Amino acid sequence: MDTINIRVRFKEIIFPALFLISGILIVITAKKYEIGSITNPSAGLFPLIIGFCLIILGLMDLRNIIYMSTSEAEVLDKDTVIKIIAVFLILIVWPAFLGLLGYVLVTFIVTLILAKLFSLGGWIKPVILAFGTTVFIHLSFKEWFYLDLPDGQVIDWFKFLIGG
Amino acid sequence: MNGLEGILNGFSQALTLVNLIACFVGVLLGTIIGVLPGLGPTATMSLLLPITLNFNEPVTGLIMLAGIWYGAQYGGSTTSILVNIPGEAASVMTCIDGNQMAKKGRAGAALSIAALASFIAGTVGIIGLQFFAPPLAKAALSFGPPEYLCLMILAFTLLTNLTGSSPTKGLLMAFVGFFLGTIGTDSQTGMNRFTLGSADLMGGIDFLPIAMGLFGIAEIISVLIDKESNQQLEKVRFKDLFPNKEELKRSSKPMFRGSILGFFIGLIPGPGPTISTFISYSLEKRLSKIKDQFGKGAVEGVAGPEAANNSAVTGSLVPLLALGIPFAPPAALLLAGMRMQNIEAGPMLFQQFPNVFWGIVASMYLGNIMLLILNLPLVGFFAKIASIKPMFLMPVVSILCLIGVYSVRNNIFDIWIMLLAGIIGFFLRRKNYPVAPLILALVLGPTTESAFRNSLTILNGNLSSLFERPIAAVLLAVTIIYLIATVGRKYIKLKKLNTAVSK
Repeated sequence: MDTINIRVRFKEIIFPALFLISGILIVITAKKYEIGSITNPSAGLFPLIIGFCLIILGLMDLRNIIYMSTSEAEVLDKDTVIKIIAVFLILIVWPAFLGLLGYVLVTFIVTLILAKLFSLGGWIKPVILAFGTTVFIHLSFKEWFYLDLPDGQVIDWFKFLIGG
Repeated sequence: MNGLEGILNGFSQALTLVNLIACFVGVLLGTIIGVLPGLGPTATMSLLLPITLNFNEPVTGLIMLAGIWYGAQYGGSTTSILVNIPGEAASVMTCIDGNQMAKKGRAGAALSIAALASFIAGTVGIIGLQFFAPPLAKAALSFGPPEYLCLMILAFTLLTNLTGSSPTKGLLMAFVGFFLGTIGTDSQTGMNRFTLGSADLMGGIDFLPIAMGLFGIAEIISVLIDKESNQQLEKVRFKDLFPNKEELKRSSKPMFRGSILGFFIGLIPGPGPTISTFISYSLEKRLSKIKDQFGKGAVEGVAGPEAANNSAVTGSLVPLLALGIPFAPPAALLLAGMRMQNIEAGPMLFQQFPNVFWGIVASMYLGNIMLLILNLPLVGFFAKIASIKPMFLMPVVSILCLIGVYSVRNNIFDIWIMLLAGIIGFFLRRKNYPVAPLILALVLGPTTESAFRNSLTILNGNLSSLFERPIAAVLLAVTIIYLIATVGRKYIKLKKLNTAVSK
């Protein structure tokens, strides 16, 4: 087996291994809760069974992968991995900065960067898309559905400065 | 309320202006997302679920959600025929002959046959729903916890075998879902389980962030890495939409067969609409006198599967509304929508909220007519929607996912759950782990656990007593027979393979 194959195989056993470890952890934790009796089961019994099932199924899955003649995995290239991480990080920006920047600013920024990440060329189209999305979100969620979206501390400071 | 009274009452609700608009918006959105490859009804229903809370009448939101689901089945055929890209998994079979018909200049006829088949099947399905659901619900009133437990065992046995390539992976996903369902305060003892001291986890993990993560966010990432370029659309003019006499004659029987077949397959747990199309296609091929035409543009290959997937959706509503058990992720979303409005689907629905059931049924009749009207003259418009590039669509969908999840409880924690579910869901999909069992187990987990614990108490810890209860015994027997048949089939297949290899 060459290095790439070993790497692919290793990536494939990550999930069954995770299920196995999760099963063990669930069993250990569930035992701390009250199991009760067979006629009067308590909070720990169902999770305990789930944990055992995850262990058994994880082992079966692991076995299937080890004995599988060909690998199902398709290796992602470096650029794709970077793109995935970038999109994920940008999505994290929205909840992380919602309180500080407010929904208008954060929606505009996140949409703009996402449009660029999805290869929308130039700057005019991404800006129009980000602006349109922000207006749509404002009108539909804030004005129509009265959703309590935070205006953001920055806007509050700005209002304070203007008012003060 | 008897059937006639019920349906008349349903129409009086469905025909109000607000409900008509909700129905129209639902079927229109459904058609659009059915046309768009990637964005499915589950993700769209998740996005719109919080919005349904803002309607005055609970039935309005449910009419819209249901419309999205069955509308998506209509829209899915458009891209299958014109571009050879199925908008939905259930439209894969339509690609085979539909696109071949388009290449022969019969795109319009294929589209109109697909729309007509969808309309007939939708109507047959609703009639089935109207007649099957109330008696089933009545029968389910005699279900106790042991019967429910056996029903869950049967449902998950079927589901994990029918979704994905490996039953082991399906079962693993179901147990992960069950585990997620145990997180939070135990309803019977008040004990906090797996909350890691977090106050946000004490109320349990909500179903919506997980569904939106697994379906919405995972889809966004999948589209990002999809390098396939947009294909050319076949042009269709309005005057080309009329099928000729022979095409109509050849497709009439497949439409009716597909409608009946699809409805009954929809009653079974699993991806009913998709499976029904495969079975309908092979049935039509087997019954056809011109078998060699299949794959080269046989109209029967469009009519049968298109009818089947539509009536399967309506079939899936029977166990949801009558038993309160969703057998497919979109059904789970409808259930979540009902719960958010404090409406419990199941046997009591017909006694406590008959208006909801009959309102949905009546709206489906109207929705089907709307879909037929929408899909024929506007087919060119929907085909154009299919060419919207992901670079425009995906940033907007991402923002809608974020706001959609946040809007349910105004809680940032739900967004973190969704993002985590999204990234895990993306890798699970790549490794062929089906996510549908996870979603359904998460929704049904608390009910299953309660049925399990109560059964043990009722049966004095002796689970073999389940066989002494007639309904439970039948359900368990079906499960056992199904398992034996599955294992037997695999054994025969393996034996044949070994013989072939040794030869």
